[in-house]
Amino acid sequence: MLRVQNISTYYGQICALDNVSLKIEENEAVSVIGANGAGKSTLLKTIIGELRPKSGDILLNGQSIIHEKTFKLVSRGMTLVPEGRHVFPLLSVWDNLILGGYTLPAKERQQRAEEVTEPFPILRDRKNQLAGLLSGGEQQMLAIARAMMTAPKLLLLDEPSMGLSPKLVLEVYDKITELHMQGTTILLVDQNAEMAIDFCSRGYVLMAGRLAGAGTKEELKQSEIVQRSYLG
Amino acid sequence: MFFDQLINGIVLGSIYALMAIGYTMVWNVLRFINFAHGEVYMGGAFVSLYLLLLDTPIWLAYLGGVLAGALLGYLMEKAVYMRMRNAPKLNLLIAAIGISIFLQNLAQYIWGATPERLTSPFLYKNIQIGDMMINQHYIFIIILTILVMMVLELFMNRTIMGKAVQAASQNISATQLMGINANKVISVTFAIGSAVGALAGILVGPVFLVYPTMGIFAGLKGFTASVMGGMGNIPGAMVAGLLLGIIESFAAGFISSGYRDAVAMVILLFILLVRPQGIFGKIIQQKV
Ligand SMILES: Nc1ncnc2c1ncn2[C@@H]1O[C@H](COP(=O)(O)OP(=O)(O)OP(=O)(O)O)[C@@H](O)[C@H]1O
Ligand SMILES: [Mg+2]
Repeated sequence: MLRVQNISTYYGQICALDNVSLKIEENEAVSVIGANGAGKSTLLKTIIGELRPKSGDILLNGQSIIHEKTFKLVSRGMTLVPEGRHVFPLLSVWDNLILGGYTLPAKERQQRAEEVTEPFPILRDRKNQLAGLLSGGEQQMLAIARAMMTAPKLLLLDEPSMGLSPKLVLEVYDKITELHMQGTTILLVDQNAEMAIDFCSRGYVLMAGRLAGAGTKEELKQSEIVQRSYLG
Repeated sequence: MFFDQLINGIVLGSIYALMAIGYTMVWNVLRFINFAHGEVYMGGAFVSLYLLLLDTPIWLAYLGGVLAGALLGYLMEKAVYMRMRNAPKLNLLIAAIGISIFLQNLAQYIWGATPERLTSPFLYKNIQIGDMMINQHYIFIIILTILVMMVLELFMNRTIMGKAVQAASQNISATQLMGINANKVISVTFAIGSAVGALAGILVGPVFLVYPTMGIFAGLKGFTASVMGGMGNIPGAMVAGLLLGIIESFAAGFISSGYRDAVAMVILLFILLVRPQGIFGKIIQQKV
């Protein structure tokens, strides 16, 4: 479904991604783990078109997307739930959802908002509240539900458990599992390496902008780098 | 006397409010002050004037001026500001001042510097309320301003595009993740803000006349009102514009008409010093 081929991404002179390749097949859940500053967010931003790679190519269903604008990629069935959630703080919870469905026909938005909030009853209870006044965990759920409005085929998740209490982390992962079961392909980045590895069938390890390893869930758990650096 | 000044103040304030909307809306999406907004106000008035010279029916001439203003704002953004998305804001500010001087000179070159009066179907008629005579054109200005505000309110809060404009003002990169073309949202914002600014110019044309530099002071007053209302706050800009007009009018009436502009600038300074977030402020809360 998605092929990342030898991409390198720079911030000015700083090389944040160096010759990184990976692939994701339909209905897979794939993790990317790595320390702070390893380049995980940069990778997701490059895939979604917020950053342009200096070299390499990214193929979505066989077509190169490195020149495609972010908003167009969204209508092609891919979206990103960014690190830090980025809900619209001065709009209501419901308006945040409706905007998530911007590319849908007007008639379908309300109906779809009802559907995506099915697993998140708290969002229904708070539908008229300003999104900026939700708790961190509630904002995370809103960000995920909002991204689901367009029923993306491929969902990129950046640190969905950041800043959440252990109980909320489990809850958020429950919801993501549900979405995955319903057929959403997922590329997941999380500080919480154990959760991320467990959730996904395969994963990649990034270190200082380079790919330092890859493998199935079991292989990653056994792998020495991962054991030493992330699982302790 | 008191009521005369009040009516004058409301009329003046309506114009300032309309102008302030343009500054505030553009600030919302680009975080800079479009100092060429006064020239959109002037341009709209001139185009209406020109259309009237061509014997266009008056309503069409007004409408043409408003549309020309929208187009001018749109082009300004597409041709200049859009190419400066990643430039420091100071560069944009200087570009805006450049555009403003260019447009003033262009207007002078095309239409000359002599002030001319725009026609209004109402200018020489009065309405009697109690023992007061109110110019019908003033009433026209007030009614149109109220109408514009209502339409704008509906647009911002009831349409998906209006919500996208609000979203863009809160987090422009996240709007792209919703599948929203941020450039389109910015264009729409410029076009609407400019249409409203041009309308203000057309509405004052019959009273204060039309000339190439007419936008300078109106721009400054609109800008003052947008700062008073809390930059980025649309209802704040409307209320502050009205307030500024009324205060000025009373200052002119009860102190001396020479102090009118000074009063506005003193208010601007005072607000910048004491309450830089504006009277109505703007809350930005984001949990990270
Ligand atoms: N806007 C930027 N300008 C310059 N350097 C940047 C910028 N954003 C990130 N970097 C650098 O690029 C590298 C990769 O950053 P990135 O945000 O991708 O890391 P990450 O793996 O997501 O880290 P974290 O786990 O802390 O979120 C870091 O060294 C960071 O300092
Ligand atoms: Mg990150």
